[in-house]
Amino acid sequence: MSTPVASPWVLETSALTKHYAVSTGMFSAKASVRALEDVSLALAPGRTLAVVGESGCGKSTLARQIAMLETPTSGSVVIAGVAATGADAATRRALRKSVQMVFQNPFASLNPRKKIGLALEEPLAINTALSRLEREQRGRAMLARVGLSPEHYRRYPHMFSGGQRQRIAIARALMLEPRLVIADEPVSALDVSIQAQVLNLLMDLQESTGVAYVFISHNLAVVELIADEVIVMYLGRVMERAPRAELFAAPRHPYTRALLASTPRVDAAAGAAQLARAARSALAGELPSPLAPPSGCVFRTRCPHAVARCSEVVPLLEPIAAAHAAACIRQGEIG
Amino acid sequence: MNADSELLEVQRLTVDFQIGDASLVAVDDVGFSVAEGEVVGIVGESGSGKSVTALAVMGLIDSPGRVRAERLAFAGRDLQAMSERERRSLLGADIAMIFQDPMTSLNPSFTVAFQLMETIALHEGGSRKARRARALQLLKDVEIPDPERRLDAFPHQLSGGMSQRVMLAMAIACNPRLLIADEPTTALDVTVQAQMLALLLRLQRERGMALVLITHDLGVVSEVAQRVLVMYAGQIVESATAEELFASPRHPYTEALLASLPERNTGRRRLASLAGVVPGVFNRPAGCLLSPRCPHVRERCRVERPPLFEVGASRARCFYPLGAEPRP
Repeated sequence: MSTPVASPWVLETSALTKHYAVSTGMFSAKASVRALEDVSLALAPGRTLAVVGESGCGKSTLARQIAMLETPTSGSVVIAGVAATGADAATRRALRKSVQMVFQNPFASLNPRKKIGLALEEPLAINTALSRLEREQRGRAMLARVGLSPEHYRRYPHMFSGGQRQRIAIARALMLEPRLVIADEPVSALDVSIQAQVLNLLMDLQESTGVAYVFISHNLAVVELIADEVIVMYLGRVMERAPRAELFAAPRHPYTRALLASTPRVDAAAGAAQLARAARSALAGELPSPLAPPSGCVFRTRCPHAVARCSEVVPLLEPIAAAHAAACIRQGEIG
Repeated sequence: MNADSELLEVQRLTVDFQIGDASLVAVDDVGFSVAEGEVVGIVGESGSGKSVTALAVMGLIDSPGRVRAERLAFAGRDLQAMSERERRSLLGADIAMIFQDPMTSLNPSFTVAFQLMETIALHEGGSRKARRARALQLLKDVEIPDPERRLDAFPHQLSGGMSQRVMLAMAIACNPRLLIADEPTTALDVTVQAQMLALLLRLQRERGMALVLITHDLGVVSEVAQRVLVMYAGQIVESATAEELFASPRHPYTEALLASLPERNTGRRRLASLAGVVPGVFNRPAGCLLSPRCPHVRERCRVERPPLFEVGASRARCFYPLGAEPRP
């Protein structure tokens, strides 16, 4: 096992890229979907990095690379100073304990035939040498921490509501005291009042355990609440990266602005909002096929500010301020 | 209530499902009306009865479901007194509906043109050529890019946003006076959702069509609806203009819903949230249905079920409406 280098980051990726080969027909050559291109990021312990974007932007592919569920085409993932990409099996097994995932649909991620208690104890049984009694103690303690009652310990997943199931999924992800939890749309299947409860829980747990989150979401209002830093992705590439307050107050990339403008919000002046919606020019068109992404800037086909130059050069993420960067060649001009 | 201007009238609508000995009340004493050309939003969380209300209006509730209403009328005509045949001819022509998941509403085995032309044939007839021209025009009306090519596409060749536009084209084919849209943008990405909402509103305005928008998303409602009905556990708990509702909610449930929105909590790090869950079939409270979860609950709320009271310009199902005198 390689020795960890002292690192201020719990997670670092550099130039992470993932291409999938897909069949386009029985007799045609395999095509390549560029699901993730050149993504570099760093996350400090106890912080939350939100990854925002619409379907097909590569946010779940990013999650799978970080969780070591897939091997990236190129680039690297470093977890708490230990290189995960290209590491030997023992290192990867050790690293998996410190990275856990929570998925969107808690019903699909819990085994319907296993009682909750067993689901919680399972990670301990596999990864630790704890006795059965100790495992149960820890499981029950964790159940209490996520706000469920002791009698729930011997129940099956179908006996819980969606919000409760998501609490269980979170509890299980935390059983091994991971340093990083990747939450892939953890509240999108929940009603708003339940969503609020689960978001509060995630924030409470972060405060008490110091766990870092990679929080994947399409919901900007949720991201604005929970994130410390945000990256905005489109067609596999990072369009903009910024601290939360800056991203929402002064978005620089046209795509970030379009996302913010498209998100319906409850404002006190509801009547005015309706007029604003009509006046606001919604982003035209839909996501291009990831099999044939546009040349140059991938966003240019829908960008209201696109010029000829945009089709020629792939824009790099250029720093604007400390920790704030956007990939747009016209970011200086569009104000 | 002036019956002349009301397009849709619903009074004391109740829908229940008999399952064994139990009766699941999905819609409980719901009353509302929709005027010609009006945009009404119905909001509520899962299981609040908003979709079942729409299905009952459409006459699409099957056994073991039971629909009862004091009045269910469209353009002054009693829907309950009509024959099955008459009611069917009204559907699709004068009242149309679109659903959340366009992929399951379109037939995967037929082209867009076939499915659109089938609808037109059923309600209007006309030659094949005329119907195809109509279908093309409809695709243009819903702003589908490259409409000639899309006519001969199969549903699987369309994106989610485009399938929803095809559904909308089918729904407006016969110039309905009322369109019920049940979570029409929930499955779509936000930028596509914004396009879809703008399109719905444009069609509604241009055609003077009434629109009932069912959604769980308060943001969508605040930007689209003129009047809003908030549903909880099968009942309408508040009815108000969109402006009133978001500026001064009268019912504690509406207040709690708004308070749990992340965008209403900027600067704070914890969201306000209602404890507990929506009552199920077997534990419907005797009094106010919100009473076990309500932060303002009093003794009376637990024993007596409140009717909808007039509160200022709004109506709220609460004995102690917010910012107003208690009800007698």
